[in-house]
Amino acid sequence: MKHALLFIPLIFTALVSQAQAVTPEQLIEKVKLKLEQVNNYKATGEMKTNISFLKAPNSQVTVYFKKPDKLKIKNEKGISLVPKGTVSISLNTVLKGNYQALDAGTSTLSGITVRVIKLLPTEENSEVVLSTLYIDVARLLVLQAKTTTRENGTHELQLMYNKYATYALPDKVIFTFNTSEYKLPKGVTFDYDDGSEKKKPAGKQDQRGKIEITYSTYEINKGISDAVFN
Amino acid sequence: MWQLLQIELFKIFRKPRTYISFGAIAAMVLIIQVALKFDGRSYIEFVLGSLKDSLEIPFDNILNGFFICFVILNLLLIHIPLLIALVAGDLVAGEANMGTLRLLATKPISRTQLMLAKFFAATIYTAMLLLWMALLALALSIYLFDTNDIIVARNDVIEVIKKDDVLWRYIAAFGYATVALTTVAALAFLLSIFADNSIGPIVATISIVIVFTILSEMQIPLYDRTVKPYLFTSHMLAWKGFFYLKTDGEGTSIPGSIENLPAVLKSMAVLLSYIVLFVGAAISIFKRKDILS
Amino acid sequence: MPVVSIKNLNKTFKDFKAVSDLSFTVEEADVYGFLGQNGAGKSTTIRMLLTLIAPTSGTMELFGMNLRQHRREILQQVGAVIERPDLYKYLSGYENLALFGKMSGLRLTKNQLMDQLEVVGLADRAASKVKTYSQGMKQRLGIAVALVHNPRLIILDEPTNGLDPQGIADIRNLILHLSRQLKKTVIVSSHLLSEIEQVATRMLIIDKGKKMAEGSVTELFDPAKTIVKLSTDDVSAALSRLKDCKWESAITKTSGTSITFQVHKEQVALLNKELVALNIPVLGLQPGNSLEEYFLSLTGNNQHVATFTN
Repeated sequence: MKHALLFIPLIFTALVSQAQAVTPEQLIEKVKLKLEQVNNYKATGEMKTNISFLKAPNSQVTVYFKKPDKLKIKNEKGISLVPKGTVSISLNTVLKGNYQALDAGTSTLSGITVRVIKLLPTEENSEVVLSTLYIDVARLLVLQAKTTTRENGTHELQLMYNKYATYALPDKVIFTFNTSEYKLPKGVTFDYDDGSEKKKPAGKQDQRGKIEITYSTYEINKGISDAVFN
Repeated sequence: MWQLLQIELFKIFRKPRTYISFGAIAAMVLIIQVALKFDGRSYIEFVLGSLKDSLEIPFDNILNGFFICFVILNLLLIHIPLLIALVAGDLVAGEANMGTLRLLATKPISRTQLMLAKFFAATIYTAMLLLWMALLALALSIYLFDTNDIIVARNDVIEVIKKDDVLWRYIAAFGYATVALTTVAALAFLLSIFADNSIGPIVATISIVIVFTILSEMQIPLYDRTVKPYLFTSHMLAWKGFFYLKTDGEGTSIPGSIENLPAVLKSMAVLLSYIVLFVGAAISIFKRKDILS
Repeated sequence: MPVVSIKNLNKTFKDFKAVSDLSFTVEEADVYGFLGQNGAGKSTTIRMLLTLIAPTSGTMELFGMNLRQHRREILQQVGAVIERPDLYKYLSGYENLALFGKMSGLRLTKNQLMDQLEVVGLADRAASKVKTYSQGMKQRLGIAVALVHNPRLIILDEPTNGLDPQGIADIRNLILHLSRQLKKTVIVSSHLLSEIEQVATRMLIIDKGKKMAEGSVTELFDPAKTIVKLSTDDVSAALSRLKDCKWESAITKTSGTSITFQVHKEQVALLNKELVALNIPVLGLQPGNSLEEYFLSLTGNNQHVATFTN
């Protein structure tokens, strides 16, 4: 009994340390381990694009992934202009490379308490300057990732999990990123001017693009040919 | 009236110059198709090049029949007025030059009927020219390049339209283009009554179209709301309005929608008014004209 | 009822008066010659008759109907060749004929059209394009086109221009055939007296848009007659004194200071005597040339030029 009583605080401490005393490195390793279960997948879903200069309808897309960080969004039946940075909708991309993980406390995302971890790349010439991850510790899921890059500004990834949470695969992702300018001379396009007042020149806000993918199915670890990614 | 129209059409389609237009369109369309077949990527890079760094551009899919038809219309519709003027400017002036006008005008038909028959014949010629163009630019392109969604590059925005939402837009666009080019036919027809030789009206029509097109396309705010809305050339481009889509609050375009249908219809009304004005003026002047040729 | 009745017809182009106060009538089955120099106003008058040119003033009636109000009915009964026989060069002779037949509101069968081409001797070239035709063939096709709808009145404006002597003779025979056998009314204009005097029953001579003389050819060109010009100080007084006397009908022209008569050569002395008796001051009485000589003096120098340049 004595022994048993002695153990209680130990167990308690262990439990607490599980939640609190896990180092950022350990947490990241655990998250990575969970992601490791998926060698490849082929997912279908609907993509919604919101880019100031792009007017596109929602489209059915297929997303292919293969370890370590290959990702391709394809519109098999039509045409989608997919932003180049979307490879970052895969956490494998976010988490690759060498970095130092720093604890940045906790926060709350849609009512869930998350740990905030900042990743500082250790390589000097890394394109990524800083990544911030918001991790649901209980489920070992990254709910949000913000990445600041040298050349392409900041992009942000929000992930919502449901059916495929055990594989750490989201049911929905929202990817927000910086877009470049688009302008063609009117002498090339010969646009029809319908006489309506034109919107004011794109402000800072308009320079952000957003795509949303809502997945309907995943085929996990069924094998994907490398040719898909070319 | 029907018989007069048949006679006018018979005359138009027996004249060798009529087929210059059909030949020219076939040649131009084929040249564009061949160029895009072998080097379509360069063209798309030219149009969408500024986006290459930020977007994945599926070149092979973009280069499809629907897209090529749009490219052809964009490049050619500006030049078709020349081909229309070639026939419409000849309608009265050509007869005056040949000397047949005086014979026509002594037949027991009113001059109004004669003029209407000629104008309707020009309209039918215009429609047939566009039908021919649709056959080559749309049907042949689809045959050669298959169909897919279409990318329409505007000055400041790119439209992506699903392929099952495209065909009706082309039908509407070709219909609109018929009205637009009939306006040119009406202008050439009006100018045609003042000359005894068809070169004058043809050159004058083309000059007017060129000057007006330059004014329409010039980016000078002074003209934007003062001159431009009254130029028929500004409204001739409204066929493109069928390829501009409405978007929902989140910037997603809505299939089956038209961004600004009232503006397109208004442009069409402006063109129809010009047609009525030109043809009305032509008839009223010709009715009083002494035929001295 | 006259086939054509023209009253006080005027046409002014900007500041140029092409036809001035012209009146004449053409009766059924007449071959009415319209004679005048180039630019005398013949073509302008004919074009007004065919509604190609609108008159400045005056009335025109054809078949007893006002031309302006009944244009369509009238033109259904009129066939014309106006100056050159211009047709659609890129169409065949047959197609041209069929086309103008339709425009006259007729549905002619192929046989009917071929018969018409047979009449003008073009049946074997019916399928050839008009641009391959000779001038004479074009002229014959032009006439076939003018006759395709079997009109009552046929107007031929300078029909012999540019034709060789055989062509000219063919036209002459055609006019006689139309008039004598088919009882058509024909108006034919020319600047050559020689062409008209052989076919015309009546004739109008026009110069600078004004009527110089009108009448039957035998009357106008009677070699026994001469022109006499009376100079007097008061023309209107002289005219009122001449009223109702036998000389009134012999007056062909009046001007501000003179009155012109056409009389038998033997009557000149008698005319002089009676003018004096009527108390008309005769300042001068000058026998002139015959109307024929007068006309030839107007046109004579141009004859060859006109024949070969058209």
